[in-house]
Parts: sequence; structure tokens; C-alpha cells
Amino acid sequence: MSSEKPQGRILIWFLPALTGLVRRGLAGWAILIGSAIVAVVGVITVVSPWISPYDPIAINVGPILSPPSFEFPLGTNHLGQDMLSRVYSGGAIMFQVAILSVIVCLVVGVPVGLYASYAGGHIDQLASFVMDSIYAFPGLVLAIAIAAMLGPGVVNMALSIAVVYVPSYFRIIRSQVLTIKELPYVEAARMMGAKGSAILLSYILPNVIASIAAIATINFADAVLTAAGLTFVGLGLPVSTPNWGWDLTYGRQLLTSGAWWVITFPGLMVVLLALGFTLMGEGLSELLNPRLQK
Amino acid sequence: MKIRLDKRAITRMQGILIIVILVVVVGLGIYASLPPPGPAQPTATMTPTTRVSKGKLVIDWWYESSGHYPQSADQAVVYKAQLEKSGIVTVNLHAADWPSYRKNRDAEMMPVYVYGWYPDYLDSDDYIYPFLHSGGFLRMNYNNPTVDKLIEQARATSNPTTRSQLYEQIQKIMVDDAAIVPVFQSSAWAVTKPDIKGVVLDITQNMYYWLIECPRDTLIVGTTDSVAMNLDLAEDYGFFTMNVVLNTGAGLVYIKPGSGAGPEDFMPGLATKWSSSSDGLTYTFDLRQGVKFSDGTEFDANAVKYSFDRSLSLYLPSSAQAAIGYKGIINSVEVTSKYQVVFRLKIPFAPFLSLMAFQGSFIVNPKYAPKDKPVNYVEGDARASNPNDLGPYVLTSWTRRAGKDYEMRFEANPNYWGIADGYPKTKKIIMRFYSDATALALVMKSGDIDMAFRQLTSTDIKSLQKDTTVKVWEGTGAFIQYVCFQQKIPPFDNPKVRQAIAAALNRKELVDTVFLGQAVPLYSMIPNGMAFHQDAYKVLGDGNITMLVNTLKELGYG
Amino acid sequence: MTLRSYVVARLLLTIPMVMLLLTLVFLVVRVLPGDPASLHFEKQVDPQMLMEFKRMLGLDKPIEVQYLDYLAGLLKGDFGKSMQDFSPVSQQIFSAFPATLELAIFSMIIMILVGVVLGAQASRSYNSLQDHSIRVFGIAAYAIPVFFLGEVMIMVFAIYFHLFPAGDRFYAGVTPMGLTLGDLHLETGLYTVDSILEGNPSKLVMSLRYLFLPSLTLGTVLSGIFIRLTRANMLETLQLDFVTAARARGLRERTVVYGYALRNALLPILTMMGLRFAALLGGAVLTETIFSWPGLGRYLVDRISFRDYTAIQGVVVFFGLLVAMVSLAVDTLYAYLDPRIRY
Repeated sequence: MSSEKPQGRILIWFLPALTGLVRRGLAGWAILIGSAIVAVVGVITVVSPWISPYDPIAINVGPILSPPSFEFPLGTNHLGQDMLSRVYSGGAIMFQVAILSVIVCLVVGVPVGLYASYAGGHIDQLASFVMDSIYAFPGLVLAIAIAAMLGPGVVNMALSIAVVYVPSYFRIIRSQVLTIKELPYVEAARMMGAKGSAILLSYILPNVIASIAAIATINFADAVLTAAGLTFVGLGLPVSTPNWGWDLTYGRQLLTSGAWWVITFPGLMVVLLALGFTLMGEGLSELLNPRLQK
Repeated sequence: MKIRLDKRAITRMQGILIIVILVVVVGLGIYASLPPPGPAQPTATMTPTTRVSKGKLVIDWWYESSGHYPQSADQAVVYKAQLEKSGIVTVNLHAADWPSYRKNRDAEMMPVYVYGWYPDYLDSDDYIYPFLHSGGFLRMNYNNPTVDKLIEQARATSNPTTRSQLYEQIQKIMVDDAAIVPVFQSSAWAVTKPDIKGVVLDITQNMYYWLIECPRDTLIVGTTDSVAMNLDLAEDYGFFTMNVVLNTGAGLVYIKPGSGAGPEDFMPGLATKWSSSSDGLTYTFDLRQGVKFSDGTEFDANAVKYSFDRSLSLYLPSSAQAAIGYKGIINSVEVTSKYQVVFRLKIPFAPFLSLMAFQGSFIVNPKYAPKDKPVNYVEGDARASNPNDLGPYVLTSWTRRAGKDYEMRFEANPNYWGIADGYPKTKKIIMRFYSDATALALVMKSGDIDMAFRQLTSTDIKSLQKDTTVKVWEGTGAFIQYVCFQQKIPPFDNPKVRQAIAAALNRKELVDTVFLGQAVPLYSMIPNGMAFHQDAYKVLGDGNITMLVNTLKELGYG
Repeated sequence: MTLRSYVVARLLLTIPMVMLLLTLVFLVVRVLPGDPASLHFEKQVDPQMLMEFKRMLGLDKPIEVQYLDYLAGLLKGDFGKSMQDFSPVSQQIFSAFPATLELAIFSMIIMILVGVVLGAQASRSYNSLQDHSIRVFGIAAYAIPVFFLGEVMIMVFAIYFHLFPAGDRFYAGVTPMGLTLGDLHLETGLYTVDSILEGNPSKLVMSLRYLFLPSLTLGTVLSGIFIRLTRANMLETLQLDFVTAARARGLRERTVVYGYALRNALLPILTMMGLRFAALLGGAVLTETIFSWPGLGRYLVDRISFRDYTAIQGVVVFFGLLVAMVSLAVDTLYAYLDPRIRY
């Protein structure tokens, strides 16, 4: 057994999960298709340095603002940059920002959520109060304010998105914890003298992971959209990195002169990526909160 | 882990785990395959350094990212590409929105940054003093006492020959020191329906609405500008306010529309004759008679004295007069007779007539401009919101929504002194305000407006030029952009490095790529078309990569 | 706890929440790099002039004093003067708000129509192709960035087909004036309402034309969530006994679904709707930017770019109060309507 290659092991793990998912009907399919889309986009982004015909930020590689042609399948933009290369590599920043913001949310939101809701009492009230106030605030505006404060940059954008999203994590975790806290076997463990942290880790956390995964994927989707939105408002990343957000911003101005290809293709990519993550998230939440069978 | 799970839950967990692993792996892969992110955001306390890394000169190049300047991000991309073509330079781009950009400028922490300039008054002095004099505002830590003296001399004399010689020397030093590198001068644009005539675009950047002929009795104008604070130049010094003041107010003299604003181009306004003393310290103006304010009061020398006394005593920090420094120029204004005014100056100021033609010197209506406070926007009362008078138009309605202008309406002034000559040619104007250039381009294309003035993107102008349903007007612009070096930060304290970078910039390529040829390469801080301009920087060449490489190699880079 | 004491308790809770918001914004805004005073001048102003200008803006005082001054003003109902143009902030907010309100209302209408109707349809035909396609549509609608959808709408309907205007609220002409009876002037700022008050049908049509694309965009993007919610709630409700009973009595399926089930399923959705509406009132920044809609969201973003402290604070406080009021109203309505909940 120990001589089995790791690929075999992963496959053994993988297959039942796959078939298990498919057997779950639409939700399973949603997760599969969603992750497939994300994986495809991710792979394209990773291999973009090798498959891009031109350097995505090199100017004047082609005639300015030329429509899709054989030489430039997705056309060129107003600086003569090749849109195909930009579409290939523009997602990297999106992924970076999204992943970073999810990590921050997990690192901050999960412990706070777990601790505050388990501890209850004043701590819980205070935490809920703060989180609700942040949650009540229109997300994009808060992100704009924080982005303006911190300045452009991948980390700063991720932070602004994370701040907007932490309350959502908090809420979901809290509602779950409150339910689980009262379950009989948790009570039993407490009576047997288990420490709070042990209970949190052993009993509550595993059951909460699934919901966290669901909201994390939605977080990814929203992070991608917010990153594009922030760039749109002018608070995004410096223009030296290829970035779909920039293409959307410029593409908008170029629409009036008839150059539809600059905004359309990066826009479709953003939609695709957000769609992939959303599908995953929707599928996961459907799985975890199964609807009544008819 | 003590978890109550059954087989279904295990499959579920595995599925989730797979997904999480997939995403994390993909993410890490992307992260690993990317070049490391740029240098951390410098704070004001951090000492920014431009360091030698792997032998290449690393330049931290800053640009403004919130749209204050046209297409600054595009420009930055092009500058970067041009300099990196040499193979010996790495350019790291940094963006900051306008307030942060300003803060950084004042903190003197941006090694290389791009800035722009609109003139206050039309004289070469206004393009030289603010930049090359040690009293200038760019905080570049540039200090050359020789050039300071030359500039002061050029200011003081009105003799064109002397000034020409002085500015020639100044511009030569400008290139030798290469403290500041002009890149381009934008052209001025307006778009109208084909049946509109009389649009004049000159170096003043003014829009002379009274010259425009429209076959319909109302001219509908679209713009993206907006009044910043109010229509009182004693407080507001915004571009659009200046435009409204020009068309509803009047000055003693005017610069001939369409001219180059040279010394011969002044024409009578509210003053019919003028003269100056030989020492340049006294200017006398004979005023036009029989001119009436909107309420019927007669215009005379007292109104002139009132206007100047008012702006000099209010002298609010944000006013036009304070920005230019009227107090350092004008000592007093005297009424010598009912229709004669004398200005006594503190220093001989060669561009004084330009100053008088400038809107900050326009005459206000004493009835609507209280001496002790500025005139603010009054909802629903256009007359009370506008202290200016005597111009070709009267502001009849002004609505603001959400802190921005919404609509302005103008009608021909029945008391206008130019009415005998047929001005204003169009009797009514409605001005609509749009939030950005794209919205403006759309309404121009759909025919909702007769004229679009000022901000349109290069691509829109290009496509409008091909559109037969509109007419595109082009004129010389007065707006310039230039590159600044912070001389506190090595190696930009070395003039050789600055010169080398200046030489490597290819202005023509920038203008063609970013502005589609709609701007003009600029080789001196004094713009093309202005007196005493010389293509001083041409001596370094355009896109002169060889010079950049050689200079840097000599200094140990590469 | 009776309904009345619940409302009172909620009202009291609003105050510390708004205070927290206010304090947060007050501090955040002063941490943003750059300050409104120096932004008024391009050139170097001598330090004395800058000081004088700061004094005019009230920025020379220590921060605690500024805070207390602002608070004192707020309690009197004075939102202060904008640091950008010295106009009263309340006047600016109230001139921007109707635009946002109108957009919010019409977006809600579309969102409810699309979301609830589609969601109910999907639940009726559980697990069918119709159900699946509607659900996919819902997800897709949520995933599309709102500005992309907006641009596509503009591209197709405004630029290509010339069916609808590409932006702004009204044509260059006379905007709806509302009702004027002698000295009494009633103007809501909502162009649709004002044109009705004025009795001018062509203006009503005009304002609807301008409203159509932005509310369609915003409404569609938001409907995704509602499709899912409605469907989920309906599925649960349709299982309940009273539905089976109604069917057994021979009522038409459509009456059962839309008449009985939907009404009960909608109750939990009400809270979500209320929250959404409150969020919409904050001004859909991106939509307002693309469609050049002069609303509160755009106003806020503009003022952030100028670091106009008082304006930003004013909008945040205004918005906080609004959200609190709306969610209170919705929760109260919910508690009143649902016989199962009695405090």
C-alpha cells in the first residue's frame, strides 16, 4: 500500500467525491461546473506568460483600437495593447486580491465569530453590535473609503474587501454556533468537564466549516466584482499590472467610439470567474441546507 | 476528532476538501508564477530611495489616478515603456488619487512625478516663474540663483527685446539643469452641430459665447465642468467660474479672441484708452461712457475702484487674486475723474495689461457684491448668485443638484455696450452639465445638444472627426504637462541623470499613442505660440535612448 | 414585550449605532491622506493663508473640539457646511436624495417583479427544466458585475437601438415642477411623482424612459438573490397543510400558488427586502456613475475625492439614520403581520 503513488491516493479520494456530488443532483453539478470554471480560468491565468502572444503591457504591438482580426483575435485597445494577452493575464490580480481577502476574513472573522458567539453575554452583544454596524453600511462605499485611506495595491484592496465581508462571516458562524451550542452532546461534553476551547475545536468548528466554505466562495465572487468596481472608481491598482478592471474602465470610455471589444471580453471573463465561484457557493449551501425532497 | 458523522457526511467533507484544496493550489500557483508586487507604499515618514538593483536604475514614477489630468494612467504606461526600452532602467509605477498626490508633493517624497499647468494670465512669466524660480510651488528643491535673477529681470521690464534675450538665456539654463521636463501641450477642442459658426478656440482657453452664431434662437451647450464654489472670483478660482465671468462680466481690456495674446493683441473693453508711465509703476485708463449695470446704475470709475478695493480687501486664500498675488503687484486704485482710473503698482510688472484682461480684474456690480463677503449660490435667484455684470449675457437661471451644477440659462444683456456691433450673436444659451466625457460624447452624438465644450476623450474626438453629423473645432491649448524631479532624492540631484531621462522621452510617440495626435509635443515650459518660446529641449533629442544608456553607464549603472 | 415597547427599544438602540457610525466616519475621514484645505489651491500658498483657510474650515481646532462642534450641530439638525463649496450639506443631500430614492423604488419594483415571480414559478415546477433554468438565471444575474450589465444595456439599447437615453435623469428642458397652487408649492424631487402632480403626461413618459435602463440593470442584478429566496420559501410553504387543503378543495393551481402560498412565503422575505431597500438608498454608486444619475452615491464618491469631511460625515449619518428607520419599519411590519410572532 505504501508503494502506491500519491496520484492514486488522490484519485481514490476524488472519485467518490465526484460521484457523490453528481448524485446530489443540481447542487452537485453546480459545484462541479463552478469549480471547473474557476479551475480553467485559474489555469489560463497561471500559464498566461507562456501562451500570451504578446506582452500584455507592451504598447503599440498593433494598430491602435483595431477590431478583432486574425492577427489580434480579441482586437487591440487604445494603447495598441493586445487584448488577448490582456485577457489571459488580467485575472492574476483578481485571484490575488480575492484569495488574500478570503484569507484575511478567515483569519479574522472565524476566530472572532467562534469566540464571541460561544462566549455569549456582553462580548457577544458588543461584537454583534460592531459587526451589524459595519454590515449596515453600503459595502462598496466602505471599500472605497478604506481603499482611499490605504492607497492602491493588492494587499490594500484585499483588506478593504475583507473589512466589508467579515461581518457576513461573523453572522453565519454566529447563527450556526448558537444552534450547535445547545445540542445535547455538546452539553454533555461540557458537563464532563471539557474546556471551552476544546469544545470549540472539536465539536463546533467541524460543523461550521461547511458553512464557512460556502460563504468563502461567495466572498471570492464578491471580491472579484469589488476589485473591478474599485478600479472603475479610480482606486484600484497601478496600471502597470494587466488587470481586467482597467480594461473595463477604459472600455467604457471607448464604447462611444464604437470599440466594443475592449470592454466585452474582459467583462465576460470577470462574469465567468464570478459565476464559477457563485455556482460553487450556491451548490455548497444547497448541499448543506438540503431542501425537502418532494 | 470526535465528530458524529456518517458515510454521507464523509463524502460531503471530502468533496468540500477537494474544492478547497483545488482553489488553494490554483491560487498558490498563480501567486508563485507572478512577479513580486511593487515596492511597499511609501509613507511620508519613510525616506524614499531610488536604488541601484542588479545594475539597473530603478525609478519610482508617480502619476495621478483619479482623473485630474487627462489619461495619466495611459501616459504612465507609455513613459515606462519608453524608458525601459533602453534596457538599463526599471520603472515602477505608483498611483495616487489627487488629494494623496498633492500630499505627496508637499511631503516631497515622489522621486519622479508628472504635473500639469493651466496659466493664470497669458504671459511667458506665468509659465516660467512658478517652475524655475526658487519661489515656485512644485517643491522640487530646485535652486539656481542665476536663473532666479534672470526671471526677476524679465518680469520687471516690458521691453520685448530685452525680455526675449532674457527668456532665451532662461530656457537654455532650463535644459542644462533639466529640473523640469515639458512633454506636451494639449490642443483645445469643441464639437458642434454643423450649422454652428463662430467658435473661437485660442490660447486663453476662454469660450467667447457671444461670438457664436446659432440658427436656432437657443444654443444648448453641454459640458463636464462645474462651478467649484461660486461665481465670485474673490473666492472661487475655478475654470468654469472663469468662463461664466467672462461671458456675464466685463473687464477694462480684452485680449483679441483668436490672437496669440501678444503685446499688440489688446482691445478696448470697459476702457477705451490706456497708457503707462515710463517707470512702469502707473497705469491710466480712460473708461467707456454711457454703460449701464443691469439695474440701470451708470458704470464709472467708482465701480472700478470698488471692484479692486473689494478683492484686495477680501483677498480670500482661494481667490483668483490671491492665487496670482495681486497684493504684491497693485498698490492702490485711484479715481482721477468720473471716467478715469489710475493704478499705482508696487513693482514694475510687464504683464500688467494681461492681468487687466484676466477675469480676476473684471468689474463687479456693487449692488450685488457686498464689500465684506463673497457672493454665494442662492437657490432660485440667479441675480443674487452672480456678482458680475456688464457682460454680453445675463445669468437668468442657475440650478445646482447634489453639490454640482445642473443647468444654467443665459440671455442677451439688453444693456450690453457691444450690442451696437451685433453682440451677442446668439440671444439665449442653456448650459447642461454632464458627469463625464462619455456621457457628453453620447449626447453630442445623439443630437441632444448643439455644442460640447471642453472635456472629451481622444478616441471620442477621433470618432467625432469622422462623423459627418457634427463639426469638430480645434485650437491651440494652454494646458501643458511636464515631468518633475525631486532633487532631494538621489540620483535625481544629478543634472546628468535628469537630462538623460529627458532625452529618452519620446514626445511624439506619447502624443500619437495616448492622445491620437490631438496634442502637440512641447520642448519648453513656455508653450508653443506664446511669445519668447523656443524649442529648447530639442537639443537633447526625442527618444534619445543612446544618450540615456551612455550617461547611465558612465555613472555605473548596467 | 409588547409591540410598542419593542419599537421603543429599537428606536433607542438606533442612537448608539448612529453615534458609532458617526465617530468611525469622523476618524476615518481624517485619516485619509490629503486634506480639503490645501486642495483649494494649486500653487504654494504662504503658510499664513493656509492657516487662515483652515480656520475658515474649522480645521485648526483640536480634533475633540471639532467632534463636539459637529455633534452639537447635528443635534440642532445642522449638517454643517461643505468644505468644498461652503454650501450647506443638508441642502446638497436633500437635492441628491430624491434621485437615489426614485432609482431605489423602481429598482425594487423590478427586483420584486422579476425575483418573486420567477422564484414562485420555479417552485411550482420543482426540478423541471424551467426550474433549473430560472435558478441558473438567478445565479448568473447575481454574478454579473453591475457596471458590465449597465454598459451592455447602454451599448445595446441606447447606442445601437436608440431606444432609451444613455444617462442622466431628464432631457435639457423643463424638469417636472410638481404642483403649484397659488403660494403652495409641492415638489417631491421624484420626477415621476412630480410629473403626475403637474398633470403633464409627456414628462411622466420622459422620466420613465430615463429611469428604465438604470432600474432594469440594478433590479436584475439584485433579483438573483430574491429568486433563490422566494423559491426556497415557497418550496417550504407549498409543503404545508393548508396548501394541500386548498388543493383538495379544488382551487386552481395558480390561485393556490399566488393567492395563498405566496403571501405566506413572502413574510420572511420582507426583512430581506427591507434591508435591500435600505442599502439601495445608500446610492448604488456604480450604477449612478455609469448612468450619470445624480444621486447620493455619486455625491458621496465625489466628495471622498475631495476629502470634503462635512459632506462625507453628513451622508454617512443621514444614511445610518435612514437604514435604522427603514429596518425598524420593516421589522415592525413583519412582527405585526406574522401572527406567530408576538412579543
